Amino acid sequence: MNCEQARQLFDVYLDGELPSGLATELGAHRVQCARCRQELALMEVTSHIVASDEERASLSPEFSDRLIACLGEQTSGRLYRFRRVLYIAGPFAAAAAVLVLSFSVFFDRDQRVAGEKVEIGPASVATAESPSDASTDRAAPTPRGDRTVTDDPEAIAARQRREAAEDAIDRWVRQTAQRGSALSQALDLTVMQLLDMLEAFEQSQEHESHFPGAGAVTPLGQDQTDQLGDDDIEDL
Amino acid sequence: MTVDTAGVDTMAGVAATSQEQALERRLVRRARAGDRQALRELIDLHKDRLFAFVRRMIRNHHDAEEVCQDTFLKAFAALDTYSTQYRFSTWLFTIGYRVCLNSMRRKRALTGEVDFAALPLHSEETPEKVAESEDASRMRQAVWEAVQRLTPPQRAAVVLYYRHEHSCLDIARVLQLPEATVKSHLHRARARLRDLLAPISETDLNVFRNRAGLAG
Repeated sequence: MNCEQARQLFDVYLDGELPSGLATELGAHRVQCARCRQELALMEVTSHIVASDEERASLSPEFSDRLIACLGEQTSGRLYRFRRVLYIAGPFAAAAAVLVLSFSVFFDRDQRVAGEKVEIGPASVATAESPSDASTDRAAPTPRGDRTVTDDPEAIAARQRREAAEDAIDRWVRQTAQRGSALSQALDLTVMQLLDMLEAFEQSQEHESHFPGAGAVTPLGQDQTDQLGDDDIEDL
Repeated sequence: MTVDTAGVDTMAGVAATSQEQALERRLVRRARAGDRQALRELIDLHKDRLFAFVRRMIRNHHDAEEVCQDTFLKAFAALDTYSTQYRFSTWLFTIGYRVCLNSMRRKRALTGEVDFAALPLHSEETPEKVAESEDASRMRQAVWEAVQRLTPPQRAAVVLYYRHEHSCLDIARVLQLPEATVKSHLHRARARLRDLLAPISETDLNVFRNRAGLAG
């Protein structure tokens, strides 16, 4: 084995992965060649020194506390943004909920006031021919076209009740929308006042970061890693 | 009859590693849910090793501490993206390495030329007169100064391989390079270190090796 051949096996030999035959051959060359002997000894010492790394420098004792404090500031920042979104979107969600609730309450109340079961819905309102009646002489539903609506008193009464119900629904929807709008405006004003108070409070609490020059913290993104190619690093 | 103690040790080592990984997964799960105590435990578990690595990449103590802080902050901000198929330390070191590179680019921290001729280690008249601790101390200083002169990927590969006992595969994950490239970096790093440390005499090397128990 010559020096060039031996040098090609140094890495594998130092990692202890050289097959025993080649390891014996390299060991014999090492005994005979001073230069290869020195290089191998140098690498053994170097790897030992790096592995043992006896440097005593360590992080400051309050490192963990400072870091937790920084994390707290990060979390409250995110929480503030979440609350802000909630405060702005909340009133609209509340108004929609009030509208739906009122709608359902109205229908239930209207059914109780009318004293009879009226099926509410676009299809049923459009096609209701006769009311359902709890009494024994219940009139069977009559298909459309079998009667002349203007002549039948029951049909006329049914139509009038239906129109009254529709008018009542329209009035209630308008009133609820107005009330919802007013409520939404009132909530908006309250939210704006609350946000102003929150901003004033946070400005009074604002302080410098524990680590000067730390800069903004952003999650590590692929665009950041892509910017640091090995070619750039080689220039350092 | 021989007892396969190596196998038992390996099994114990594997069990310990599995326990450690299970603990890590539990801590990460709790940390994602906002548990501050879990965050603190993750910090305490990894901060020393991370600092040891960063300190060898960035020689300035204050800068190294700042890099460690930034690394943890970025890691916890992106905790939802961490996949438990990798060790948390590997993921943390990946972020730490990139933060180191950012820091070095900002400060352009180039190491200066080291005058190896001024070091008494290569002198033949002093080895016997110098106390053992000083001799070993100068040898270590020379080696670490040579390591500092490697390029960042080479330096990271050497430190992670020897100091932190990472496999080439783990180093590839940390440096976000192919495994073959990592092996190439290690190979070139060793060649470069041989060139830089060539002035050290064989006598000094043998003295150190004997005292460190490396001879054989």
